[in-house]
Amino acid sequence: MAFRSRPSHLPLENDSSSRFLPSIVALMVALLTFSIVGLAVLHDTVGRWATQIDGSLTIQVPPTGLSQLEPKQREAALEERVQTIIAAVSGQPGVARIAELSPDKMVELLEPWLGPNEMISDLPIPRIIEITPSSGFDFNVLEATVSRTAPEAVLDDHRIWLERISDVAVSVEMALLALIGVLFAATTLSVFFATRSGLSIHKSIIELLHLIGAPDGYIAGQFARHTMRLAFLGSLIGIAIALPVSLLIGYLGLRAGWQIPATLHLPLFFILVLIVPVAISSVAWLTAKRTVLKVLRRML
Amino acid sequence: MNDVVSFRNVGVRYESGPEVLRELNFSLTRGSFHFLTGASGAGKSTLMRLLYLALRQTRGEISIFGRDNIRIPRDELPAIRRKIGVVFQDFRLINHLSTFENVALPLRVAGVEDLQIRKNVTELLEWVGLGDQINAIPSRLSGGQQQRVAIARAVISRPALLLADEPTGNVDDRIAMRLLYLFEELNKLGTTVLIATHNRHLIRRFGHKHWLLEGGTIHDLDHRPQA
Repeated sequence: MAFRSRPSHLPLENDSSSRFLPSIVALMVALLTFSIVGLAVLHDTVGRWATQIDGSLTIQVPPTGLSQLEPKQREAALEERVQTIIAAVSGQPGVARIAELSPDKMVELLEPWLGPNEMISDLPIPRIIEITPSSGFDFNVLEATVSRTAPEAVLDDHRIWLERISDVAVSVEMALLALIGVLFAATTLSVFFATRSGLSIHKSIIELLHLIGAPDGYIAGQFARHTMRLAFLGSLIGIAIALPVSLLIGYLGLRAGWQIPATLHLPLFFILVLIVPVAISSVAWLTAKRTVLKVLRRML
Repeated sequence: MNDVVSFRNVGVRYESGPEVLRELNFSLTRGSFHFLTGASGAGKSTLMRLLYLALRQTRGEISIFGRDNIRIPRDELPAIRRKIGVVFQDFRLINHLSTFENVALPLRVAGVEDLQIRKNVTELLEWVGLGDQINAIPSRLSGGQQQRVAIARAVISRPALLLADEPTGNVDDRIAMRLLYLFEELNKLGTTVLIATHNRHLIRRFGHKHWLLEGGTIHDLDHRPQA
């Protein structure tokens, strides 16, 4: 005798919620994945900026008043100024390291803008002294020392604007984290309303199951498993959309000379992305189960 | 305690309306068989709902399987409901499930093994004359066939208390007799049976106790003073 396979007692597959829930979850998961990728990129960038902030003080020593001198004499005079500044500043508290940026490094940095080495060496280029501050560093003391030692030297504090940009980036990071929370909340709400809708549609069957002695957990379990399946399907669709798009953006970024953030190379990142469907499905399962149990508790 | 069900001064009213049932005082002893009659709107369905724990009384006391219905903890209600088989007047079959699955429902809910379910359900469907409709869905069945599916579902788990609301309303006399014999067989095995029906021929034919629900209360026709 031919028996049909054991079906669900609730015809949830035919509900309108069964059609819209995977689409909503797919959209949420795609947005979640983009947010996670964005967060990884931003976090990495902020980290790099933070490192730069630590060593981002420079003193520019221009050849002011030395233009009448021969190149060799000019360089010697400029070198003397540099050494005077280094001597004056290096003894100060809060200065972990002070060093002149080597001429070769300067040429390397300027070459893209000013052309090859031969041309640059003839130009009156300022010398650059890099300072790595440490605890106890006082910008005002440094400024006073530099101004006293070499009034023509310019103290550049990149930290101010880097700190501001970094602050903005951290705010964006926080906003992305909040967005991830909102997306989870929106998914939970979608599941909640889909479940409530399912409960209304199948009220008579639920009542029947209830009256023939089905425990609340039995009925809630059917809803929860069905919702979890839909959410998992939606999550896979969302990942299938978001990952190739993210990879394409990354590829285009690489071609444009971007640096791929270290975070994105970590297996943890991929695990995190792959955890999203599991997390969303679990949230859906839990939400559906709790919603049904809450409604059933109101029944006799 | 020999009473499966016991009502003491039970009354029911819906919201602020008049009492639809009042001063209900009766007991269903273990293994008893009763017919319940009453005009439409007399409150038979409300009484049935009280008995299968879908409704609570507004006054009085109901004891079911020795438990005060108001005091039964919610998590113990499913186990008590599983001892009650109900044939609903409107059948309440699940339309997307086959005949087999509809009948198997109480066993599935109770966590009975698949093999046992197949054996019991197939046997019972053969008995009620639906052996050839095992995979049919309810909408493909006639009214009488649907009623037999509903009855099979109510008796499949051999309940301690069987409540049937017009169980023979849509079947011919031959099938009606066959179904009543099924109820009698269950009754002989210890099931307490209460059948609400308008079929006086069946009541006379089987000769069990006969209650009349009139004016919101129950009258025992077997002991009513003759006019």
